[in-house]
Amino acid sequence: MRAALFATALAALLAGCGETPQHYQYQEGRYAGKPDTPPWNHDRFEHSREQWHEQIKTRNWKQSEYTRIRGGG
Amino acid sequence: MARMKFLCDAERCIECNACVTACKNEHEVPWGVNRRRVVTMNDGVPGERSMSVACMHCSDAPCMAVCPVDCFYKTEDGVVLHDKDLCIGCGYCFYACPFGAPQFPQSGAFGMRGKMDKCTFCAGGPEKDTSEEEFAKYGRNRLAEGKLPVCAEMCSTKALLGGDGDVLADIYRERVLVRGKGSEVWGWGTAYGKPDKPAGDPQS
Repeated sequence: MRAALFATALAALLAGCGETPQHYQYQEGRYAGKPDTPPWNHDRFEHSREQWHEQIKTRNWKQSEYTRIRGGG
Repeated sequence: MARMKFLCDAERCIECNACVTACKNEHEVPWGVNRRRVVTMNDGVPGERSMSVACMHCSDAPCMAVCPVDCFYKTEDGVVLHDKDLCIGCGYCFYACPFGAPQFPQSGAFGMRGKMDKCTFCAGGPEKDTSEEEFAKYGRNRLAEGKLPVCAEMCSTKALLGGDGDVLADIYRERVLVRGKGSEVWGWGTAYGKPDKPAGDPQS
């Protein structure tokens, strides 16, 4: 009885030492984290991740004036 | 897959605080809450340096680790977000964060601490994207509009960069090569010291 109580108390105490897993959670190749609509899942990007990423990448490179001067980005 | 990050170039930041103002305006952040702020080192001394600081969307985020109600989550693009419906305003994340990013609105007669508010990388929260509910709780969702965070996009000297970490690294690398200095501000030598000088020595 005492051993069981001790084990329960120890388990409860050690539970505070745990950390929330921070890696992206994937199941069957899909993001399985907390539910939130991905930013590309809209009509303006035709629900295409590639299209969204391309726009973000373009804006990303436009932050570099060297790229803008060269006419890229 | 993008890994969203901020990078502030201390050689370029002129402490104009426009990033702070733009953030507050874009998201209609309440009085007393600053999702972003500018920190100046050696203020008033020749050679002072300023940096714009907000949530850095850490790869191994301490706020996520300590949250007792597990209200944080990380999107596929590496943006650390939180659910205000779950947040209990305990303040653990504030103590854990090395950047002082979590902010707590104070309201009521005794200045009660409200639910945590922080930079969302302009990515909103779990509510429906670009909805009024999302805007009221987390501010505008610019990523869902195909835009980058407003603080970075409107920075006049482009000191503050935001977006995919790989692209930011390329932009910064090119800057350092062109101006011929700046790499000493970052990297191994600064973090761990050089062979002949101790770590943390500002002259090293």
